Amino acid sequence: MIKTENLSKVFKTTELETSAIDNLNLEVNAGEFIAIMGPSGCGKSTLLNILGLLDNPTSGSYRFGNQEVSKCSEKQLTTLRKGGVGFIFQNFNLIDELTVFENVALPLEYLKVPKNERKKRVEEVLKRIGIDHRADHFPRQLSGGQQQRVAVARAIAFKPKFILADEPTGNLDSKNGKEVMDLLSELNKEGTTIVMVTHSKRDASYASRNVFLYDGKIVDKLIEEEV
Amino acid sequence: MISNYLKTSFRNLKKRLPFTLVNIIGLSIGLSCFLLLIAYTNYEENYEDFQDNKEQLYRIVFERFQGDELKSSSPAVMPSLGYKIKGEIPEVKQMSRFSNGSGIVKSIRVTAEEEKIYYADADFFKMFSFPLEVGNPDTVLENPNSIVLTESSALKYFGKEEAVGKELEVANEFGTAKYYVTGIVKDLPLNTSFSFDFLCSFNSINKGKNWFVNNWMWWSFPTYVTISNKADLESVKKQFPAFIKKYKTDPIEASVTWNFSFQPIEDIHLKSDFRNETVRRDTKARTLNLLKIIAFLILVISWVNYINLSTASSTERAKEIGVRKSLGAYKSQISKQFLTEAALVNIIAAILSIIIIIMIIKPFSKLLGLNYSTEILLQPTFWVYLLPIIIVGIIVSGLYPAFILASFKSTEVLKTKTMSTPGSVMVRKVLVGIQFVISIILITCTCIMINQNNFMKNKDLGVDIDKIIVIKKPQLLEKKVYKSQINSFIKELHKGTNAKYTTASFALPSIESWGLAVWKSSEDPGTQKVHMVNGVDANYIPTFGLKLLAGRNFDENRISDENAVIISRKSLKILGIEDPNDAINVSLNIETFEDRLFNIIGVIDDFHHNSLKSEIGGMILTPNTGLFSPPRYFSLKLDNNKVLKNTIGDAKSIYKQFFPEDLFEYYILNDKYQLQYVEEDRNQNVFTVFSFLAIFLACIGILGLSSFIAFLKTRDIAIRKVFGADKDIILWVLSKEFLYVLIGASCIAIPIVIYFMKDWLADFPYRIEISFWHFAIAIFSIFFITLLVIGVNLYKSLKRKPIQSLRSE
Repeated sequence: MIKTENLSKVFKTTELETSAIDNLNLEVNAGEFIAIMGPSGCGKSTLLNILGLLDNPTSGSYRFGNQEVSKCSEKQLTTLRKGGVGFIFQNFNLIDELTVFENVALPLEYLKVPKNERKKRVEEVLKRIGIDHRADHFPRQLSGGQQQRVAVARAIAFKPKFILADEPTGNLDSKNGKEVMDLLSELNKEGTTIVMVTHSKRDASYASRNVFLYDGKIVDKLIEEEV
Repeated sequence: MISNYLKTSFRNLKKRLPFTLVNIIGLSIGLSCFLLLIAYTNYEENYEDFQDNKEQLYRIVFERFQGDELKSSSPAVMPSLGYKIKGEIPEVKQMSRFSNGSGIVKSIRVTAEEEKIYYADADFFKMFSFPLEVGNPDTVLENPNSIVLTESSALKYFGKEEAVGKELEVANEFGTAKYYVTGIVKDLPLNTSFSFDFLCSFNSINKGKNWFVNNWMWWSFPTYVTISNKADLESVKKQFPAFIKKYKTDPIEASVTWNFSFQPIEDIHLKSDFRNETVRRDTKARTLNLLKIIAFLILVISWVNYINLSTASSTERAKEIGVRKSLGAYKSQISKQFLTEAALVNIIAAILSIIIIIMIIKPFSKLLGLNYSTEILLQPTFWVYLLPIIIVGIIVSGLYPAFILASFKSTEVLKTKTMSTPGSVMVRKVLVGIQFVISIILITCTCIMINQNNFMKNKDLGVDIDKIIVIKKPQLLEKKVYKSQINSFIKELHKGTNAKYTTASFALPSIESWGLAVWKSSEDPGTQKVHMVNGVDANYIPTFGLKLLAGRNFDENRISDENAVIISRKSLKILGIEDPNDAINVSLNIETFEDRLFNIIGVIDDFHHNSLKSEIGGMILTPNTGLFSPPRYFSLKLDNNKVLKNTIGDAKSIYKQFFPEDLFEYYILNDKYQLQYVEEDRNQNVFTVFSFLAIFLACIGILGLSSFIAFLKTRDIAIRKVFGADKDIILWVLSKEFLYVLIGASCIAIPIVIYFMKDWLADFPYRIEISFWHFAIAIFSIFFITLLVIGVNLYKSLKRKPIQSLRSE
């Protein structure tokens, strides 16, 4: 599904060079559920940007599907991303002025899915997530758990093969957290590839494989306090 | 404590230097504009303020009614009124006429043409506060052939020599005579309607001529009176009808009602415009009111900018406020901090605006066609305005930010990263909306003014005024000698200059002739109406390219043409004749030519004798003999390939052959004609300049708001980007807020503009219609400027990596 070889990202200032990702090799096969764990500043964010096609690496190769994307322009990345990657964030990142329905419909709109088809698919996905009765509400009228479910709905509405989840339960209580993780697990079983960044061991236990990141490198195991 | 506020304020302002600079520049531009415009309007409104007796001085205004119809209104009355009123109405304490007699002035050293020669009565210097450098105000104008000079004229004609007692020759319509200098008056201030360089004693004109003293039918003498108080004025008004009845005996005026009123001299400058004779317009006062509104609007825009920018930076400052509050600061203390900052910015802006005023006062007064200088800074009124404006500015611009920012709750501020209360966005939209409304109004008004101005300048006048040189008649030469030489002079002029046509006339386009009552001989004299009557020769019609609709031109060889007239289409209409051909051979009576009958021999198409600011009136051409003799102007029409300068040289040498003693005075007709639009040009310039400034200031506001919205929308934009939105969508997200505000502002501005500009245009008899385009230009230009400003912010948001904005800390 995706494969990185000797992937590096270096941030330069006039005086300093910081290596956020250092010769990273990672392969994720289709249908896998990977949990990436690591302390703050270990390069999770940078890796997520690159894997999510939001940024280019400084060197190395990144194959997304069958395509080498490390040298792609921003426009090409946007095209690949549209319909290719679903994102779920810790703080949900719903647009406050749009209703639940409109938020979920947003990626479909950018994909230029016709209106009727769009409506059908949004209704379908809201029903599946169990939030269809809240379609006309605004994000601020929902609980955190409900908001995250809407975010999940938005990420899967256009049926991406690949979902990137950035600490999806970080702002949820354990009950709501479990519900969201169950949902992700279910999606994975249906064939969606998932890469998730998390601090939580329990969430990581849902994954088929755990990857530990430290100082921009993959390590075998992390010491307890560093997670 | 205050020093603490000041210290922190300075640091804060320094820390956000670009923001502070934008604020200070915006405010100082607003303040400079406001102060300059207010100084100007204030100056215009305080004409005659320096006159010690201003409350007691009046000008007599004369109106003539035929039934309900106003036939004429004018500030000039008959010479006899002044003589009689002082003796017969005891409440009239002093009286002076003030009558123009431009002509040629000659001393041993200098001979020159002078416009500002006036005649006034002995009371003049007792009534008006024009201090004499030399001479006794009670007596300088007492004796016939006395003349008072201004300091500058004395210098011009006598150099550094003592002028008093010396002799000057003055030649004008009242004849040629020697005058003896009896006094020197200080040069007149600018803010007075009286402007003279020479003031001759009024009794020099009449010198015992009884008909002059008893003349009630020659209305050319503006007359001023002193009346001690309001009660006396009422009493004078009561006595007036009986007083007039005694003298209004001429049968010609039997069907006309005379009405006299007393105009306070302070109103003369702004509240009178008798140029049209029949209509009174207060255009000057209206323009001043418009300028005052503009001044205030520009100031409001700059205040709004301050509020807008300060609250836009609130998100940056929220944390500081949170920390201060958590450390025990009271809300009032935080408010004081923000007020101190506002005060500092306002005071710095005020100082800067004074520097700006000193720098731009010259070009600004040129723009307004004035010559005032930094002396307006010395006027007490200037400071009287400045101080309260600074205080109000501090309160207006500082209070809202102080109130809003101080009310942030510390816990919320410290917890969250961004502050986005929907209310504050709303307030900011309203503020930018106000700026949009003002900008749309100013741009649209400017467009309409420019459009109207161009329309007037480009409209077909019906008369050809291109390539025409006008030469004034000799002034010093004795009338009889001049008359005898006219014909040979014209012939020589025509031959010597190779002109296409040469004509001699009493008046010509842009120069008024006389309005005289005219009626069909077959009808009752009561049907008379005023037409403009001009004395011309046979070459007048071809020289000015007038179109003959029926009949024929004058023919010098027909003796009967002495009593022939050619009338315009409008005159035809006024006389009640439908077809031009029916007018031929109709005979007319013309007032003051009662013993003669005039025969219509031709009809010409209408043309604009004056600018398009006045309606085309009836026009009757008669031969330039009799009352219209001798002609006052010689006009040379040149072929297009002729160089004006060469012809002028030729004309001058011919003129000097005929009138060696006289001054050769000429002008180019087109230039003179366009001078009629000076006021419109000036208004247009003022509006254009201030519209640009308003837009510039509004841009600052848009920049403030769009940065703020971009800031609030950072997350929104990032989310959209992650899900595949491209640049257009992001531009739309940022600009739609402005689009709604702009649409709202247009809805408010359009009716306001229509209301005011319809009124403004109503003053012009020939005018454009307010159209969709005037608004489209304004609204679209604001729209594009807004997009441009937003584009800057868009670029910033696009550069930011989305995950940066989306990951929580």
